[in-house]
Amino acid sequence: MEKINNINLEPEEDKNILKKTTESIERAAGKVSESFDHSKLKIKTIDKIKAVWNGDWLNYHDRKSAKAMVKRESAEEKIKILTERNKADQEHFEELKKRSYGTQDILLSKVEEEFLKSRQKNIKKIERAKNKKDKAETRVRYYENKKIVYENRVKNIVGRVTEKVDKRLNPHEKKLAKIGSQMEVLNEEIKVFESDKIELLKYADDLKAKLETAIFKEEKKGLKKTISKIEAEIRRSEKLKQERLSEKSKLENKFAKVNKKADKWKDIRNEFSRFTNRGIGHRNIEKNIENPDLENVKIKNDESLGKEGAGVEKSKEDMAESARGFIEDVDKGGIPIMVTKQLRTVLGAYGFNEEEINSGTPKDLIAELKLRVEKEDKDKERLVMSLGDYINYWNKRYGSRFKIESKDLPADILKKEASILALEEQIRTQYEIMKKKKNITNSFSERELEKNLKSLRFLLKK
Amino acid sequence: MDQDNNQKINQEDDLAKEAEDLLAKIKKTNDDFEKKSKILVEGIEKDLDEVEKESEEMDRELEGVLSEADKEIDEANEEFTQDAYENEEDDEEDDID
Repeated sequence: MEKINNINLEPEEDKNILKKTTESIERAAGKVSESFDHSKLKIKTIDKIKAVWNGDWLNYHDRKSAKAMVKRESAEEKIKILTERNKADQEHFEELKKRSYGTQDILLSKVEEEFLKSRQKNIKKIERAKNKKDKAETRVRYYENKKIVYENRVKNIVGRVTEKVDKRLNPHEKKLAKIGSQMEVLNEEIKVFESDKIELLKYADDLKAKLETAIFKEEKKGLKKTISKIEAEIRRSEKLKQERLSEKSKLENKFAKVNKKADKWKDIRNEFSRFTNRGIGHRNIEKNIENPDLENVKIKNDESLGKEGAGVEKSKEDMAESARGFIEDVDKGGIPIMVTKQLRTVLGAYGFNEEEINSGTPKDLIAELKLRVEKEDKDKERLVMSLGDYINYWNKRYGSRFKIESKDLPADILKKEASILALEEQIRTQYEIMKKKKNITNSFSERELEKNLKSLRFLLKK
Repeated sequence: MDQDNNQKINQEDDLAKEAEDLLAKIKKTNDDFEKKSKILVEGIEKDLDEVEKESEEMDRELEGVLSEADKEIDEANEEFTQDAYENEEDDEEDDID
């Protein structure tokens, strides 16, 4: 996985990416076939999707599409210029013809010859530009359609998995919840029984004390016998309690085992459902590992990620998606039975401390988590600004190496407010255009662009 | 003296009755708990056995689903990672003049 995530996507490496990523995926697939543990299989499946969905393959398609768009625009511009040039030449020639009054026929016919030659040449160029425009258009459509087709296909697959897991897991979870309540009842019964026993024991002790004061032999004998029976019953009650506690412990172990299995599928469902809830353009997971955001959460030794996943950075956004998975479960009527490791991690990322996690019920914790996620979503929605302002921020920080000229952009576009992510896309487009026009220093790579966009995003969020 | 004795006898009779009542109460508490908790334990055991069996079936079925999805993802990834224009050279720069 690390290989895939760390591939350097310098434009000149585009051609190698096919080979590199295919090899990485093949390696991952090879490991899957070697594995008999199916829980590992799901990690691989998810990683395979992530590798393409969020990784450099998406960038590859985006860049290819952007390149084709630039070509298309350039061809359009060329067609426009050549058409205008032909029109101007024609007008110029007509003007000359008018002025000559038929007196300079030889010169005029030479000019006409030149004009026709140039016109023919331009027409050929226009034809070529039109072909290039069509070709570029086809490429744009090809790369964009590929993303759509892939997104739909993956969503279809993960949707099917989520649905099947849901269908199988939901009744199972309900049964587990029922067993959980029965266990609670048993627990309560044992507690009540124990407290009754203590009460009766006190009573028996009082009787024993009174027995000491008894005078009559017969009565004393009878009483002693009864007290002995009481003591036997008390011993029986202790034995009963111990038996039930032992049975309860066995049941709890078995319950935890079955629960763990259910949790495994629940985690799989949550992981898969993330992909049905977002589009392919959503780029966030495991990018820029070498330069993580301060707000990222580091997860170590998370078994759910498998060996290769341990220690990787999970972004806050990734956590948000996991959180949404848990919230959706409850909203759909799911009953959370225990705080799983994954839920604990998510809660930690949302500022829950150990004490809160340990003292709250899973249901209450998820309800509180929902409130925190909703608040965060609202805060995010508020993070919008105009393109003009964003460009100012950009130029202040990175203008010395990649300056964006606001004056080149229409005023209405500059004033229009948009989300930070949309503004970043505008900067990427500007970068492609300026790179094409060679208005940008070669040392300012695409990787650097992405790094700076990310840093600026972080600063603006703060 | 007789009166005292009678009073003492009565007190000890009461005490004996009290002890009998307590014995009956403890016995009933034990019997009730034994019966009720046994039913509960057996019920939980039965449900757990059923759920455990179901869990194994679920594992098998869903692992099949995952395995199938894995293959489909492989196919989708393979298709997505193929570029029809991969080997095509970039267009040469055009001169307008």
